[in-house]
Amino acid sequence: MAAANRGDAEAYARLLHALAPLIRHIVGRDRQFIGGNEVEDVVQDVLLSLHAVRATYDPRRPFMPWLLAIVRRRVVDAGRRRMRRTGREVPLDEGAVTFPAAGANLAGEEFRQVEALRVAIGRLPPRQRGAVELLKLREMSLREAAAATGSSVGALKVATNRAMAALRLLMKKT
Amino acid sequence: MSMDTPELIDMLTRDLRPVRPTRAPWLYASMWSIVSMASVIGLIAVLSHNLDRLTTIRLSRFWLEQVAALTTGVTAAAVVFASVVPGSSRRWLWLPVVPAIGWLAILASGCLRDWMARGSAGLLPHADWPCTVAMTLGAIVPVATILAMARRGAPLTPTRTAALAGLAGAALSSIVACTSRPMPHPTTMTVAVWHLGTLLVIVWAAAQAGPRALAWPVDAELIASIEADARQSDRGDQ
Repeated sequence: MAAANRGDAEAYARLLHALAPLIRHIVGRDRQFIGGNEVEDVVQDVLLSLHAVRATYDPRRPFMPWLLAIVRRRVVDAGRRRMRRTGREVPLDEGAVTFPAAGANLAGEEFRQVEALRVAIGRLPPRQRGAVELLKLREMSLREAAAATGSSVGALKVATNRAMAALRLLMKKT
Repeated sequence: MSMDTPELIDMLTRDLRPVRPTRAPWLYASMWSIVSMASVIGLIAVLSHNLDRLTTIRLSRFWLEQVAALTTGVTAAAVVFASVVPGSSRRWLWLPVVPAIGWLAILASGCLRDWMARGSAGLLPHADWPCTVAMTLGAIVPVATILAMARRGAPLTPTRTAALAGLAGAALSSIVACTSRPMPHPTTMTVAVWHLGTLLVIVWAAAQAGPRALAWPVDAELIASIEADARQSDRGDQ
């Protein structure tokens, strides 16, 4: 380092190439704090910082404490940067992507099924349609539905069974 | 960073120029003290209503207080310059504590003396805005100078370093406030509350400015050459 500060580029290159794996090892111990993908960035950050403050190295004093102080500081800085960044981010689920291939459009297919079901329900006789709407769509109990329509529980069960059979047929046709 | 580490090392070592090693912290502290004392003396001359008053003050406690403030400031400055040298001992941090304790002890003894002489009236802190203004004005040059000088080092603990810079500047500016006023302070408690209160505000403000004022130095030429290389390799890829 003393030679590098005197302008010896070769000695500096040898030193930095020798230090890089050591710095990577030290930084790597804190990969959970700084993020696994950031290790090489922090190593380069350390090298840039070391280069920027190389004038603070005193050849009369040991080199390693000087280096480790810089490494520790840059690791802390990187960790804080990451905390700030992740603190502002909201993880989102993967968004639906539509591709030209028909097999990739499952979400759209489901949507089309819902539309078909809605049309099929609309084609049911009024009594059966009412039973489906109250029991299946609004999720009322049989007693609540009976009270709302004024018909008996048995009649509602019959209407629902018939409606479901009719819907199965209608959906097969589509 | 998109660059490989060996590539970065090649860039760092290319066109390497010799650098002048930074000097010992005490030497920087001495240089800062000279500049800051010049500004303090200048400000006392401008703000002082009656410089002759200083020659008539015989209270050894008054002068001891100023010496303690000065020592606190200078030792805090030495710690500032030590804190920007990687690997320097953390024991340095305790250096300003000794004169600071001495300063507080002198103020405490003054409060005790006032209380014994005048009872509870001697412990009343009187409003002292002129001292706050004088201290704030007096701290500007020392704090700005020390932060500018500390930027040559490594900002390992920017908040703490800047807080100590605030302490160094505020301690010297306390001398401005004490010596430029036309009359002595009515009670020592006034000094304790207003001077130490203003000092704490200056330390806090400096600490807040620390991370911005003491960022890692950037070699603009190097960054420009890294960016130019990245652009060139992008064009090559296309």
